[in-house]
Amino acid sequence: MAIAEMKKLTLLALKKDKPRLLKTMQRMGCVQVLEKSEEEQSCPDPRSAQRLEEIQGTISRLDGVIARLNPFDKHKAGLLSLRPQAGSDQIAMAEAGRAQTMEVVARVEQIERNINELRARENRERSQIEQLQPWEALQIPLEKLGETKTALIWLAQVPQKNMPAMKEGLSALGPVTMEELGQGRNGVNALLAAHLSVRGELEELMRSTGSVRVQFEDVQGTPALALDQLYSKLMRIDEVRQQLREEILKLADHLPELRLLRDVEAAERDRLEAGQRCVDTQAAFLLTGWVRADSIQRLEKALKRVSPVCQMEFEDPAEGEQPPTYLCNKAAISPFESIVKMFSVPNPQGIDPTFVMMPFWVCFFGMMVSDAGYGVVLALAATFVWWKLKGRGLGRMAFVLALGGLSTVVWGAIYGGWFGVTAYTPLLDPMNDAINVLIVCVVAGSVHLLAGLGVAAYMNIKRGKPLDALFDQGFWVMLLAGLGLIIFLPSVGQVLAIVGAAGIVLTGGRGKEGNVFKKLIGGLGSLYGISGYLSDLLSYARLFGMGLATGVIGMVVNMLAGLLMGSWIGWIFAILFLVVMHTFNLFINTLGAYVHSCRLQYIEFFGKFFEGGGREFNPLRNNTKYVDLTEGES
Amino acid sequence: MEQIVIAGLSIGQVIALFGAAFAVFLAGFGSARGVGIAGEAAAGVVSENPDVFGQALVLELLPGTQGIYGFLIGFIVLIKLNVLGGPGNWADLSLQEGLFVLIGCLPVAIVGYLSAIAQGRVAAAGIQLLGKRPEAGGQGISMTVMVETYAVLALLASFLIIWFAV
Repeated sequence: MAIAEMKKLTLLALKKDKPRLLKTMQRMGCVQVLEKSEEEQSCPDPRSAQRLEEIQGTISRLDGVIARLNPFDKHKAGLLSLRPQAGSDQIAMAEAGRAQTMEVVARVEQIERNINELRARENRERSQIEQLQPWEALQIPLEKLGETKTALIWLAQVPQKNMPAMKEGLSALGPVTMEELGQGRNGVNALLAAHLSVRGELEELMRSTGSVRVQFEDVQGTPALALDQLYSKLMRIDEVRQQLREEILKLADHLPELRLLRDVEAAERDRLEAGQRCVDTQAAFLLTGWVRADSIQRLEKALKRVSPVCQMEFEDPAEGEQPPTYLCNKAAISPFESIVKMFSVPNPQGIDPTFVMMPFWVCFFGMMVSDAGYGVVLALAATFVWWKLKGRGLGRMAFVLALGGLSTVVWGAIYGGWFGVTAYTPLLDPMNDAINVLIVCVVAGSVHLLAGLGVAAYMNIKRGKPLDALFDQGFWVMLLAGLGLIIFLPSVGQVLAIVGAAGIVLTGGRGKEGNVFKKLIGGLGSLYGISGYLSDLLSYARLFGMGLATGVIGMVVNMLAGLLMGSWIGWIFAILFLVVMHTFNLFINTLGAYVHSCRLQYIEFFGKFFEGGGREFNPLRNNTKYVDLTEGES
Repeated sequence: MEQIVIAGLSIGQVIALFGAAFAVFLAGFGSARGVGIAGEAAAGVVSENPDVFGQALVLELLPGTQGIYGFLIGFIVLIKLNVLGGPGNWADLSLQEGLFVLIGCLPVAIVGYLSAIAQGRVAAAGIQLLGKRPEAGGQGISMTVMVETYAVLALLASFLIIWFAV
């Protein structure tokens, strides 16, 4: 239960057995290999370092190709499908077919490069087309333009507003003609022909009118002809690209192999990394790591079978050494571990609060969603997801929500809300009996807080400090319970509260340096902590507030839908509206209830006892992305 | 006291309606800004790392609840006025009752407006955190929810004032 006990493993074995030993450990997934310490630092084995680099390169190539092919996957895995599994046969096949699979990778990368090249070429052709298009009317082949012995033939762009000035200037020049070929983006496109003798004057005129000479290098034939050629080039590019696309589509059939190989390689990379953390000599190696105490026997047997000569030693963690934290709970509780870990991984010397937290979390979640109809939908949907995923991955989350849904049904029935409709006189009516509902919330909150104090007391007792448990938690429990009891049993409540308060004043400052007075003042100071409890308790008012929000929004949705229900067409819209809005309400309130229920644990509950700062147990295991490797597992 | 009538409504009704309008528009405006701030951050982060879209969306959504709370209080005012009962069936409110409703709307309107923007900022920071460390999304969500507490308390205060004062 709770936090698993860890032992420190020291393994001495022959180097030739290293790969197989590491493989066995990876399969069992119960050893976290430790980094070697400073003085053991030797230069890493160059061969394995090189292999590691190589394998990392392969993995990133595979990742890139998989990402490229994924959109074309014909057998897309749904969100609710299990990951494929691969046994030792398939893994062996993947390793045997590595060369072939890598050929696929190379081909996809080649295609990718070709497609990029085509894109660059297409851009070039398109920009040329853009330049040529305004000159399509020109009947002279472009290579014939320029200067002859006596004349010059130029293309020019003349700004529209300077056209009259240009014409005037040209007529003054004499042996010059200008033919307008059409409108371009930068003015009028014109063909100029002039005798060479007026070249200087013509250039001057062009400068003064802002005209630009246009030249085409490496284009043969008339613009119309060149354009035709460019268009047919574009079409060929399109064809080639289409072919490449089809090939990619076909290559996408190899996705399962690619994914399997990627994960097989990743597993090997993890082994190599673990191997580099060992201390190597010529013929042997030394590995240190953390092992879960409950798996020692299995591990010992398995490793001995691989390498009969290897030596193992298991020790308790040394003083001041912090082993990693592994939470192990019963199957029905373990999905809630993720809620604890979201706050912090518990310190291995502390306590795993999952077990105590779970009933409160579920109860508060139900109080905040608080609509029995929503609860039924949520419980059914989440149970379906959980069943479909066999409780793995997202299925763990679904399990948490399914329990939350059940709790919602109970609380919804108490509050009397079914999809925003109150069908009967409820036990507790949040709309008309708000004060009583608030009291229920605060009472639930005080039970929660007292439980938190209880856990803290338990930890003090377990550590052999029963007096601390009485002083720091017992008196507080007395004071809080006494204050609560005053409403029902004034005499008992008063006595309890006074004893508790006096105890806190007398003992709360015992850690302080100095004389009795200083200690008493410290005690008074800790009694002031009661204001903290007050704000903690008020914080539970959110249970009411969130529940109210769900109920009222549901009611509003029903009312608005009721306004629509006139004709048959109104009914259709009303039903659509109801489905969409109730789904939205369910979603937003589930989200809200989830996070607020977590918050109540983190701040109000964990604040009383939680010791965080642990590091999660991260053993060498098959930590894969696409495929579950089940090599040699029974 | 002489009854003041504005466009066929008593002064109490007019004041109460103003309260409802404040609650809806201020809280809604705040949420719109908060979701906007978070949304810009989300788009930036998702452009780099499309895998975190789901979590980024959850974070973006969190500052949206204030608008819902404001709407909810606005609707409760309409219920109190029996506006949905049709014209002519409106409940008459005295000036005092109208003022109670208006004052009751203020917590959710003002706290809703300010907390939605503050929450939007935290959500944006949480989304940045998500971009750097996708596994820390849950922590970002927890931080964002801390701000929400005060909006829930304001909702509660508004509800209690309006429900019990009128």
